[in-house]
Amino acid sequence: MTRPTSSGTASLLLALLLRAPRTGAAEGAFRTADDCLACHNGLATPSGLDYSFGYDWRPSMMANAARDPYWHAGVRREVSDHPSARAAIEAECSRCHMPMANEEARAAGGKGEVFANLVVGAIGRAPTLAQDGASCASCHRIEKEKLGTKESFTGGFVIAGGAQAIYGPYKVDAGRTRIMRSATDLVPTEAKHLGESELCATCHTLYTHSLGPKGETLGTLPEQVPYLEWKASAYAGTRSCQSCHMPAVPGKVAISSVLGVPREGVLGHDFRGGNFLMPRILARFREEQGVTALPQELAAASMRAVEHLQGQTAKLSIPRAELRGGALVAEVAVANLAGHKLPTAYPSRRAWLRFAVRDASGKLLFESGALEERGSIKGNDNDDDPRRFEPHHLEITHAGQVQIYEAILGDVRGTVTTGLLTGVRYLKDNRILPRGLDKARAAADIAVRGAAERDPDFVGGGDRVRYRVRLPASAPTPLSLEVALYYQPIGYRWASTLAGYRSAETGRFVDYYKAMRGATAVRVASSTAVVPAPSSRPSD
Amino acid sequence: MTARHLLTLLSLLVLVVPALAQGAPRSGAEVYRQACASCHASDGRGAPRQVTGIEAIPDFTVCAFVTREPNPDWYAVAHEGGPVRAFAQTMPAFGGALSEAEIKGALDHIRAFCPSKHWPRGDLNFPRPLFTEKAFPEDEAVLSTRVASKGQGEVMSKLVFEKRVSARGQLELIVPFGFRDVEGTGWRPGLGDIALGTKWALLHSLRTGTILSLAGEVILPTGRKDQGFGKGTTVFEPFLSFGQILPGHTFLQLQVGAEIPTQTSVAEPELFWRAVVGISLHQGFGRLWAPMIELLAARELEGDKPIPWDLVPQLQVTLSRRHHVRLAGGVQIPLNETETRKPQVVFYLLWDTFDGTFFAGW
Repeated sequence: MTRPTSSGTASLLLALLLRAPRTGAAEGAFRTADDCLACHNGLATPSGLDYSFGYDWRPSMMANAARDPYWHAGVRREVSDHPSARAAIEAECSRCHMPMANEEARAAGGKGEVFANLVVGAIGRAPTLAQDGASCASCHRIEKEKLGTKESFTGGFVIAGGAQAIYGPYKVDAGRTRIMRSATDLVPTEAKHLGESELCATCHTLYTHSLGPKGETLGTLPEQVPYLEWKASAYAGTRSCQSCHMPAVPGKVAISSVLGVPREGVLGHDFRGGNFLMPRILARFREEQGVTALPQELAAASMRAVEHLQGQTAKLSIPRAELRGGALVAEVAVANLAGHKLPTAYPSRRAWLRFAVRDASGKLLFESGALEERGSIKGNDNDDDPRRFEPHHLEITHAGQVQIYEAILGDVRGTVTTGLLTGVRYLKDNRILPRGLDKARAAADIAVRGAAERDPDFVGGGDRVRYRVRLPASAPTPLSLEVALYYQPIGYRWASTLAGYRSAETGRFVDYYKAMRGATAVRVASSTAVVPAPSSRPSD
Repeated sequence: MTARHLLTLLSLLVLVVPALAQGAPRSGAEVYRQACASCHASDGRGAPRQVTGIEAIPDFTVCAFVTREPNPDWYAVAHEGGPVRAFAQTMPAFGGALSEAEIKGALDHIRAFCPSKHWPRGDLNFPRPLFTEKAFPEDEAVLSTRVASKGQGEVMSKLVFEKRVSARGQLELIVPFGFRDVEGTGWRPGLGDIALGTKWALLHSLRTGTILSLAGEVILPTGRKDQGFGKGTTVFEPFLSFGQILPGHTFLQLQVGAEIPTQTSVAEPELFWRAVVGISLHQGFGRLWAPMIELLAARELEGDKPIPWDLVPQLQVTLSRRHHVRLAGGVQIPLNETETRKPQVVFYLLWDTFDGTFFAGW
């Protein structure tokens, strides 16, 4: 080996000194939301309405998709039921609940994991990406490729490996592009598909494969298909998912707090939906779940969900109520205002009618569908006995009957189940159809199941239920009727079934559910009517 | 109206209308509010992590931070983003979105977050010459070495620790050490005369580009005089340091002082003066090269020894991206008495301790 000459050393030193300065290196395909907050928080309309994307997203179910203790318990339950399919279950579930970690694991030739990434405060790229849930970069990096096709469902979205494009609905000029690229390595790129329902459909159209005892596939279950329901409704082509769940901020506003320029039609990022319960649970147990949103943000998210449910979901009316032959006969009409079934998606959700009759003194004469403190519905067969379920009713005649709009899963033997990978079909699906969805022509995946199929009043846009209640002859009139539509994101049976599993995740969630006593359901819509004495009522 | 008048009027319209259409240029405060405030907060203290997702954002109201670095460094970070100075990537590059005037306006606004006028601005912190003491109070550690190229063998180094103690003040510790070819005994290691010093910026003005400091050192007789490592007596060294910004990124630094030994029988008192001119050459937004030429002289107060004059051409260059580690080297060339005084190679490695650990910021 020759000794370098002094002139050689000097040349080397000079070359080192003259080399171009290094710039920041990209860390990987994804950035966590933390890297986006700085520029996409601090956004407010001239009237003071804060629409900061970070604040709005942080308490949402999207942000907390990986911290959702019900999801943890659900995955644990499925893994316990089907231990041989554990890796496949974790890979499939993490695809949409931990999309960034899942994508990076796949890119590295592995599979997405759930439980390895659940440790609160865990250090490392995978758990950090995992716990960021459905984060900014996971949606804004989805390519247009395959969107709307069956291939794109069940987390079949495509993220271009290595590319640094991050999509949004607006064209960004060169100067602002450089700002974003320099801070994040991402290049803002105009793409209209971000505002289309087909983007949401990639995760919110989910088919599960029912498994037998040896892990063999027994069938395919459309576990949640709100996109397909929407597509068969009158809303397809006129209203997108985003238009309701990400309502536009009024006026022209900026999308960035850093040199933002006013733009029309900026979508809010609170992802409002019907799940008011989980933000409440996360607020109460935020330390245990490693939640970054502040308690007041979670409370606001829960309130937003309740407002959304009460303002845009359903309408109730009592078009007919009369006393006839010693019996009260009333018709209750429920209108679904949503662009999909009500309730929709994950089958733990249910809506039901509470119908009550009081006499002139206020005494309760009849009640169907009372909410019990533990979260069960009085008179619901399924809450009393997991092997049975409450059928769809055309007419309700006694307090033991209750009209519940829900999906009931059955296994290969037709037994009621709440196991997603055990269920092969729906024994009952009377979730209220959106306007325009014709049940006679509905595809099998969104079909009505059970007695509602034969109910002529159960049509696209709503349902009508008749109450025929025999009352004491001595009951002082006029009678007052109260009807309310209640909504519960996690039905009692879906929660209580988990108590039968011995694991930290299931036990924790059951405890949480119990802690939410009396707060697991909200009233979505209501209506009242007064029924006069028979002599004073108008004739038919 | 003649055709010439019409043409003039049209020309004016062509020039004026686009300018009016663009509107008045944004003030520094406005640019700060629109581009910086979302992270740095409108009061400059930095928005909390919950808001920005960023762990630590500097507090612009801390004068020690906001006054310290020269404008080109701030401008580079604002224009090119944090990584250009090895800071966080979360600091974006505004170079494509803001004009030079807008960035400079925002920087003026940021500088104004320091409510005190006592802190000299970093633009008065000129590159450190090999001999002339800077006027700017600093937080630095410097290892400098002098190697005699001819004559009696000598490799002497000194470690200099400078610590800023207030807006204008600085304390200093100097520890010399090295090897000398001691006649008759060969090469000997030794500790030199350890010195304690202080500095106070008497006046500074960014408007005039001037800084003047009064400083003093007490040099203790910790080095062996018989081996050439020390003077054998305590020496007081008061001096004035002056710096001046000159046009075209050039600068002038002066130092005038005296060495006053407590025992004049052991060491001669002397006056010394040093001057340096140099230029700061930026390699784009990256490395800073500062060629300088220094003139040194000293005169013993007693006796009639001639004044030794030396010229020191030198070059300082930033090594780290943060510019907090720098290397300088030059040759001290005697201009007279060349029979007894030989050229010496001098170089130093400098670490600005305020800007992070030695190994950070590369």
